Amino acid sequence: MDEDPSLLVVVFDASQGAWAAKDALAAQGSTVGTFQGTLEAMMVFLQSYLLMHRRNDIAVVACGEAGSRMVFPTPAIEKDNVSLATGGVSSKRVQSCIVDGLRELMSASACGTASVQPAVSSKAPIAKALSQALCFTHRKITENPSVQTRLLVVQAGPDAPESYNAVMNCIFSAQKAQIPVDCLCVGPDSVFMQQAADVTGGVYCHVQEPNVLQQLLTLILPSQACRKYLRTKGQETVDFRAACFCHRRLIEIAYVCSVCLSVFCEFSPICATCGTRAVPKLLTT
Amino acid sequence: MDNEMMAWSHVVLSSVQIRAGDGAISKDLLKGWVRDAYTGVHRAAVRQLSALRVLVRAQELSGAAAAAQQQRRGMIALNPPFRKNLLQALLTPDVAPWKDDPRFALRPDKLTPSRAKIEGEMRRKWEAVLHFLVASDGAGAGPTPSVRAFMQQAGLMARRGRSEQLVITNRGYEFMLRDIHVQAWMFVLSLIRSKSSDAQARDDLLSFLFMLSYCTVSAALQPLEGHHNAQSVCAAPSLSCKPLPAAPSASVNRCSEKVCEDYPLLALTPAQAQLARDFIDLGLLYQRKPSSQRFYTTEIAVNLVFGAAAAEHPSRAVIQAADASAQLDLAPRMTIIVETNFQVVAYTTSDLHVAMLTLFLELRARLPNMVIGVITRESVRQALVTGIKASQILNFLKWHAHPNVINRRPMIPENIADQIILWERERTRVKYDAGTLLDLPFEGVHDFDKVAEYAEELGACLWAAREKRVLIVAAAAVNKVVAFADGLMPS
Repeated sequence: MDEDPSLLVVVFDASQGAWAAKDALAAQGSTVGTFQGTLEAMMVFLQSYLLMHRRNDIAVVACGEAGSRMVFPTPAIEKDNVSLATGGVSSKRVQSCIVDGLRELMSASACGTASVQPAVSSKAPIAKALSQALCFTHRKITENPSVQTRLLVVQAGPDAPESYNAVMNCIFSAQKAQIPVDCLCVGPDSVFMQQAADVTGGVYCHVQEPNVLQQLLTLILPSQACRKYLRTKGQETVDFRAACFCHRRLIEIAYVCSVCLSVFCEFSPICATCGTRAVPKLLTT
Repeated sequence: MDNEMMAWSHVVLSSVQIRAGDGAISKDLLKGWVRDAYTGVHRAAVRQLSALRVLVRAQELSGAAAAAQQQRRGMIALNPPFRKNLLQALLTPDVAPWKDDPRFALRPDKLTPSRAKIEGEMRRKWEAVLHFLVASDGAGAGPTPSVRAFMQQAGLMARRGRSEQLVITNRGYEFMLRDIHVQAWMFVLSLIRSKSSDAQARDDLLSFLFMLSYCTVSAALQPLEGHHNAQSVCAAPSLSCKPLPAAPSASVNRCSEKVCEDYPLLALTPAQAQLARDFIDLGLLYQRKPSSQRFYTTEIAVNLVFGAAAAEHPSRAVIQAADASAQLDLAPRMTIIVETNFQVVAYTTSDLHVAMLTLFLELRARLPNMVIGVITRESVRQALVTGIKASQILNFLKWHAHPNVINRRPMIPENIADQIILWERERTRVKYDAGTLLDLPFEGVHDFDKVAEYAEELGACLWAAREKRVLIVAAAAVNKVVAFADGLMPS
């Protein structure tokens, strides 16, 4: 048992809209990834992760329409200076913290959507939660440089192209910090998360069958060191499409500013990001 | 790596079995998950798991008909009790040990001690034990008989001469310089060894230790207020925009309370209760008063089985502690700065630490929060004479390094480290061998050379002076060499 302890940070997408859509499907007989099923699988997954090594630690960041927040460890637990690793926190308390946190977040976003914008889009601020998770990870690494960290993103809704820049920045900082990002997409395929897993060396996993737990345990639970033994199904194709800076559309062929590398779906003579002038002559000849 | 693989195999197996229900899985399927290059690792993991009786052949399990037996050839499964308990651990978090039996249910404690108090008490008792080890003549009653017995049994202390007083031994020094987790673990090991003849008692003790590691230090949330089951959350996203009642803020407050979990003493078997009592004497467990029927755990006890793995570098903990505003008021750590001029500055208030330092330091000054001492040849030699090693001294200094010097490489100035090692080598410069001096009355060197050669062949020649015809021979071979020399003498 000479391995270093590891820290798993889970980013849980708790946006009402996405889950509501899923649950509506479930009512029609589809059994793929309902909220309850996913949450229960998540709990068992976390529990087995904690069983893997005594010193393993977890953190959960949830994000919804109302914003993102640290669900575990809560500020109270941080203040007490106790952790799972030292036996200061019981796993029951972890679960109740997660459940309480999700509940508060969801009721907050339910209030928000009801009063302000009834038909608000179901796009969770994954980017916000990702950066919060990365900040937390960074703090833990500075406290104890030997700790191994990894990220798991559970996404339910579709990608939000307007947060393309923010998400990509998060992905590249994770890559730089050598933190693998695993992704579990319960909803539609996610372009951003495919790229995240590809760039950071994580696992991308799109749930298409009802047994979420099986996928979590077989694909995501093994540590980086352990994964090299496994014959996993890699990503055959990675969707590398970028979102354009002007309309936030996912595009395959684009105009790229030669100075700042901004991507545009339509030609414009002056780059909207850096103000560089494109020379029309060169284009026409 | 193997451990990793093993742990992974456990979980994968269980996941397969959650699904299959029946519990058996074909070996080939299991092998199929592993890359071809690593089948060796996989085979080793499976072999190890089988040796531990975690994995068993499916044929052994089913008492079914021969046809079913045939079908289950080549299948393996988790040992049923292991599987049952693993599933239980995964699905129902916090089955606290000794809690499910209503016979031993405890009423809520009126005066629940705070975590800070328990940990403080633990440090105090443990330091008393260590203090007894360093300077048993010190004031105070000293530890209980069981602790004394342990000290003697483990060879940490011995009676010197005819006096009743116990004196620290070489092993005792080693013990004292170790981390507290390791110390506790050594104590437990010696206890288990002393019980090794009685298989029943040993099993009892082991199961007690494992159950301890499932205890928690601070209490879980009270189920009455803060608890919501998953079901209630799942109602949230059902498109109803009705605001849900916000979770009561009381639950958040409750989280921050430093209440500790208590466990019933009566639920233990006699052997376990005896061990628990020993632990209470040492401070690993806490009991409010001797007649109390409940005990509380400490961090050390909970992490006992995982001992050293859980130990962080204390200085790092100090840095963290300085950051955290609400830090528990535990016994202060000692931090040491070693200067290049052999002066040592130790920030500590504890008598124990001072006693530990005086083992190899010459004290110069003692201030309220610090001690200044000098490493001298005499002080180090004194430590070396009692059996302590140079590497132990250096490790001790490194282990307690002050945060300001912890990132310096080397942590201890090179000249100091080298000098301490040189002082240790000084003591091993002279080698003693029992031997006999033979003054051979030969006329010429020819015969003497023959004898010397013969002794050399036997590996017994310690020293030879050809001009004087004098030879020193190891005691073991002296008779042979004398007989040989006699043979060469002119009659």
